[in-house]
Amino acid sequence: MNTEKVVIEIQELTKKFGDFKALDRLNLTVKEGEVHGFLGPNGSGKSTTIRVILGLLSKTSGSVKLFDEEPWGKSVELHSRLAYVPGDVNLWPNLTGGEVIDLLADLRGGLDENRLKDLVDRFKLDPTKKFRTYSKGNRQKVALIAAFASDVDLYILDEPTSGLDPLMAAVFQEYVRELKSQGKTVLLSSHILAEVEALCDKVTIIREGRTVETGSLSDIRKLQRTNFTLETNKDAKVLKKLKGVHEFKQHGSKYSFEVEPENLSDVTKKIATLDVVYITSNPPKLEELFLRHYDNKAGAK
Amino acid sequence: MGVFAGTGRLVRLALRRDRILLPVSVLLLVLMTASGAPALANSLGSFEDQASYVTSAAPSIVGRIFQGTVQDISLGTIFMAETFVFASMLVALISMFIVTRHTRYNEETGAAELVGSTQVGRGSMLNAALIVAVGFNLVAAALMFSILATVEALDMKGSLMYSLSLAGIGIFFSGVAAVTSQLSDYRRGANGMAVGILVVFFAIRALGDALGDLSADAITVTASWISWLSPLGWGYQTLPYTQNRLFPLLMLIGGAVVLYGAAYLLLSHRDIGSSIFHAKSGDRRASASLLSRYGLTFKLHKNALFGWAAGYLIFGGMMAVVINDFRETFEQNELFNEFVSSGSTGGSFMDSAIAAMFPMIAAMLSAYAVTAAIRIQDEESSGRIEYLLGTALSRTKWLFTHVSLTIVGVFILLGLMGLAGGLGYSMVAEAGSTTSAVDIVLAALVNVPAMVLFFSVIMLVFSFGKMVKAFAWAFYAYIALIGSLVGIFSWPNWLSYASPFVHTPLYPTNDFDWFPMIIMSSLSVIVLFVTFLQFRHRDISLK
Repeated sequence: MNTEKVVIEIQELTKKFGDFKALDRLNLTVKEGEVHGFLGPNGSGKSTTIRVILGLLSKTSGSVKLFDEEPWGKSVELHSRLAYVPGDVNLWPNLTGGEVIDLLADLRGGLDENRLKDLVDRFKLDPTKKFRTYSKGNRQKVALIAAFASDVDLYILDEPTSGLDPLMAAVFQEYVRELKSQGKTVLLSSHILAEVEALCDKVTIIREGRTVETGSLSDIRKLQRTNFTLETNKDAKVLKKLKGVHEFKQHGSKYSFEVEPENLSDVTKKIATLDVVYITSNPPKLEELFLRHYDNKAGAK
Repeated sequence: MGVFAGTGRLVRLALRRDRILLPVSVLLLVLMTASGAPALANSLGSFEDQASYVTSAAPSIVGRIFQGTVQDISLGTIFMAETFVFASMLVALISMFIVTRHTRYNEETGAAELVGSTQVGRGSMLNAALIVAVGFNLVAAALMFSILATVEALDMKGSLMYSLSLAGIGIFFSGVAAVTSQLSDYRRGANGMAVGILVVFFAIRALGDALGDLSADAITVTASWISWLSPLGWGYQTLPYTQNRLFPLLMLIGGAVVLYGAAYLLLSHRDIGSSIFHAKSGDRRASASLLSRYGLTFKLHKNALFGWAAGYLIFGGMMAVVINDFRETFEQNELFNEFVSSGSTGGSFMDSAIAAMFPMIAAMLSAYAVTAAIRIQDEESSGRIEYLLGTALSRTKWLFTHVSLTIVGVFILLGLMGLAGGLGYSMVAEAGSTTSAVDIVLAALVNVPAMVLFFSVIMLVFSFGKMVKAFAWAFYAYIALIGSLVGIFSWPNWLSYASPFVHTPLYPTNDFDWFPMIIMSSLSVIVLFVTFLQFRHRDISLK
């Protein structure tokens, strides 16, 4: 990997609320210019991690660096370099969307007028409506526009698109790509896996406050099982007994199974002897990757 | 399944949600009305005292505005004059808030949508809210009556009428809120409209009473026809303890039925979550004033501050009347005056009375500080603070704007109360009164350190992030009631020492004591200093 600057560096971060361990020796590294997907089931500690990064919550132990500085107590200087969209969009009911955007951008240190105009157009937001009258999707648009209208180095987005329609989600993706081409850094927490697959270079998956997987998507895939489906005139049950073959299923002459990366070579040799009529092999989908992590009992690593 | 299916369950849900709020409201109402009767019977037991009270209240314009139309020389009339106008406003407000809370607010939060998708009729939520509101009024009336029935100087029939009239007003205004909840698309809007209507009805009743006819013996006031345009006037004109008229009460109930009907009709003609009046569009961009340092903070506190200003002004006006009553009752009585003057305060009896009264009123009105603190806490608990602190705004700056604005508010409100009291008094007082308007303004303002200290302690609890609301209201209940409780039950005085208002120095007096003012101000500074330090070092509490 190249030696880019590190924007967020978290090592062995633990955060306790009373006796409850929300984060348990979590690791996360986000480099400059990266769009980093931050994934995990509900309640796994994504928002807590982000709030520690922002200095809204203190850490119990471990190290947290934002732009090379400890965020707790230093947040004001650091916050002028970032824009944050929290997951819960509940703002002052009697302010209009336009007022909220101006207010937040102003507190962040100003906004880019041209960008603002462009964003309002592209997201098709009516900024004259009172905040309480917006639907969930429109509220998220307000928060996103307020963040994107600021010219900062880092964008931290906590499930920003859960209420957007597909058209608007596409606008969002376009915008994140533009930010990326400008060399901006984005930390994107999301449940919409297709979105993460489309946007992110790197992914960190956490579970019960621990990092269970981190790296580039292609690297992660390499470590995962490959899916096979095949049709054969011979009996393929022999495959089931091979090392590294899982989830073996048979439907008549059709078979499906998964193969561990280190056993691929052995398994494919065996397949070659089976008089195969039809075969497909797929890298694991991000979704399967998650499901495996989300379902498993203990941390997978 | 009918339009009202599931009403019973929704009533139980409302009672469960308000299991603390409702009993406290009932208690507050009873404490502020019926519990004053025994004390009144003690202090104004003699016919002469009563006569002097009534003859001064009857011709007074300000008296009629805040005390209504007195009827005869009796404790019942005086009890009405002392409590009814205030209690009717209070019962109306609580009833309205109950209704908006369980109707429009549910629609605003989306709870109505979820509930509405179950086996619940379209009208059930409104129905449940009205049942709870009517129930609240009946329970409060029953409790009030059971206390008043023990006061010998008040006859049973009058006490029953008194309690029922207040309940009638409460029920009428629950109907007002039922209608405004259909008109506005959010709770604050519905409340604002309802409170506005209440204020207009107050003004109509006040005008009607002020223009009333005074009998030849200068004792009985007959309200003019204008008072009959206001349901608050109907409530008063049942004239408990004297005429005990039933028909104004029936007018209140009839009015409530009409309003309920109108509310159901409006409800059946609109979609859930929508309203008859739609929200107006606002500004496309933030104004320079909103972006200024105090812009957002002021906007958040503004409406509440204006509302409180109206309340403080009204109380100031009431103080003017009460002070004038005292003057007319006692100033001529040389012997009594000399007796009191020999006391430690060294001032006239008038001065002592003013000096004793303002801290009590200020303690009661310090609910402003509670609501301001809760507003600040609400910014955090609603999660809005996350947006602000996620920008380059520091915690200290954020908290400072809220705290300083509230403290300025304390100055302004107490100043307004003093001004209303002083100006009102100088209008009604006869020449030769020893008390000046300036004295009354200052008597209100000496309570600033106590109220600021009270607020500071609540903010200290906020800085630790736990139990702010419960603590603030409990502390408020303590400071608002401890004075009277110590008096009624003859408890030792030290029980009240934790209330800053007990330590407000007496003013006006000849030798004003600066010491407690300085101590309380310094304490506030220290408490706030710790508050700011602590707030920087705690986790922001977020969902």
